Amino acid sequence: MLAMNKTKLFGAAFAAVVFSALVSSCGNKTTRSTGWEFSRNMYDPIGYNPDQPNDNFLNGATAQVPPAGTTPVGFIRFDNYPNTPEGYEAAGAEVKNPLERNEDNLKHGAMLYKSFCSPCHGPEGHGDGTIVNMEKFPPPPSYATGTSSRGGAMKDLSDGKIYHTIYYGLNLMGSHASQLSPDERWKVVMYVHELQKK
Amino acid sequence: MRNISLLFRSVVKSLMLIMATGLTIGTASAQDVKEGESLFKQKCTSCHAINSDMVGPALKGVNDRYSEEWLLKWIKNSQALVASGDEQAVALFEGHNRVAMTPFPDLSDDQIRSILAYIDDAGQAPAASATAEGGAANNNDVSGFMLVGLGIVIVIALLVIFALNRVIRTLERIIVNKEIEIVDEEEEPKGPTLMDKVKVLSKNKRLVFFAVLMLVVFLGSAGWKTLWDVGVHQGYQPVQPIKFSHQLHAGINQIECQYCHSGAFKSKNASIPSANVCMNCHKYVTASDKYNGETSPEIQKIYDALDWDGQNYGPDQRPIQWIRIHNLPDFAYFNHSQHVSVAGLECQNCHGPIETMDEVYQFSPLTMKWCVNCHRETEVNHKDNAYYDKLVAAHDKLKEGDKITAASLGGLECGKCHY
Repeated sequence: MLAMNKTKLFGAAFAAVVFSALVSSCGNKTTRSTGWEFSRNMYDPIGYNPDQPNDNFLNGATAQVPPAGTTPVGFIRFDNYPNTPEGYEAAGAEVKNPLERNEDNLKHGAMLYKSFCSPCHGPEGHGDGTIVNMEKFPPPPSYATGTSSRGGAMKDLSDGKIYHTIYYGLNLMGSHASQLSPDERWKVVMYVHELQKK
Repeated sequence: MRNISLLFRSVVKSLMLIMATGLTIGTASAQDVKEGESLFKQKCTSCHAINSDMVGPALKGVNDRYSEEWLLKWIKNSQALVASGDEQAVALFEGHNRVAMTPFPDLSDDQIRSILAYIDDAGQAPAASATAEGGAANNNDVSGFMLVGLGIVIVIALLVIFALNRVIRTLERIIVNKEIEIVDEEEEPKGPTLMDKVKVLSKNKRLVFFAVLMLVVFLGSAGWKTLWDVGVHQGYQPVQPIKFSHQLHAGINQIECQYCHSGAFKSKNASIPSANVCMNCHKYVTASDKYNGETSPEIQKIYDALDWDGQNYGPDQRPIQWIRIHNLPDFAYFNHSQHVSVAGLECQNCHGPIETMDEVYQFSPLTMKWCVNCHRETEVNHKDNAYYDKLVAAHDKLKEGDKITAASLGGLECGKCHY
């Protein structure tokens, strides 16, 4: 009788272990649900997050375009130079980099260049970025040896022309104005001048 | 057997025929086409594609539309040709929003001819895609073979069921024959019922104690874990409106996180990229080679959100409503730029192996314990870090025995009082 109980007990324990092992090993620890929540209202912000839906505005978004005719603090307007060949030439002739050329700015420019430009333009600006080398995107011309599609050699591009291209984009390159602030654009321009020499 | 060998022979024959014709056409211009291809990729692909309009028009069949002589002039300097009043040139210029084509005076006539040869060759590429379809059909044949195999298995299973049915019927007949005896046998082992057994066991105090203890431990630990996990979204992996793969973009394509989440450098919010950032690449990248020449349905969702028709953005634009995964409660302040720019942390420190995630899930628990543990262990790197300059200066002063004021610790910053 006791022996029988023992085997049953062991059997039950074994079954329990197997069951718990099976249950705990199920899935890859990801879930489609957030699980239980308590006092959710302490988590939700009273103010709006920038990418949150918002019924107060007609287009339903919290992030609104600044009203027409206003300039955000720290922004430099570039409206005088429209996205036309004339605007490009005018920017090239008139606009100069307002930032001082120093080591800090160049370092920051190099970092920004690496994140925002090098996937296509390549680490040295030869038009051989990682995406280009994988043949997933056509190569842009080299800063040092290429010709610009707007005429002239890439190595002769002036401050304003490079800034204009970052601002509006050109051919297959899109505008990078939403990713880079004016100061950051000028730092990138400064670093591109370095690459034109390479 | 004979059928298969016949089939094989005909396939080999047709293959040889194709290769022979390919060789006769190919040998003469293979070199040119290759040179043309590399030139085309260097000079032309920024604006042109073979089969679709991009900045410039699709180039398929351009050799049939224009004479070689005219094309040579146009490619070397299109604006001069337009200025000279050439009818075709003016029509082309006006027809494409007066976008001037880059002049290529450095290309020789032979180089341009090889580019044209490549365009001609690549324009016939649908033939290649047709053979690819043939390959797909072969794949279908394989699955057809598997279907036949499955059918055979099903037939065998049916046969087994039939045979077993026969066995059951004979057994039933035997049972009917010996019914009385079986009934007797059933009545015989009528010992203690299940209820009786439970009653006996419930009198065993040790066993009952053990069972209750187990139950308490189980419920207690399950309850403890459940309560701990309330509001902790670790592992949360919602279905997003677009099947955007971080594995493809950040992993395989090695695009830096900040290219899209550019706010992480300089803002509290790492920022979800607006769709214009997608379009920096996806104006060109449509993954159509994977979808029989159609735009990938997932990329099409970006185009729909932007009302993009391939050339222009329309008025009917609406935001892509991504589902937020990482949701820090509003009573905890977190700033991305402080961690990314000042501390120099990698995104993966908190977000896990994001470059391997096809679908993103929350890697870290984002609990206070998790934050505090990291803050306890992480050493501050204050060298060459402007953020800590004031702090280091204040400590140096203390070491030298100078007195320091609240102002030298940033006490004059407006936000200390007017927040």
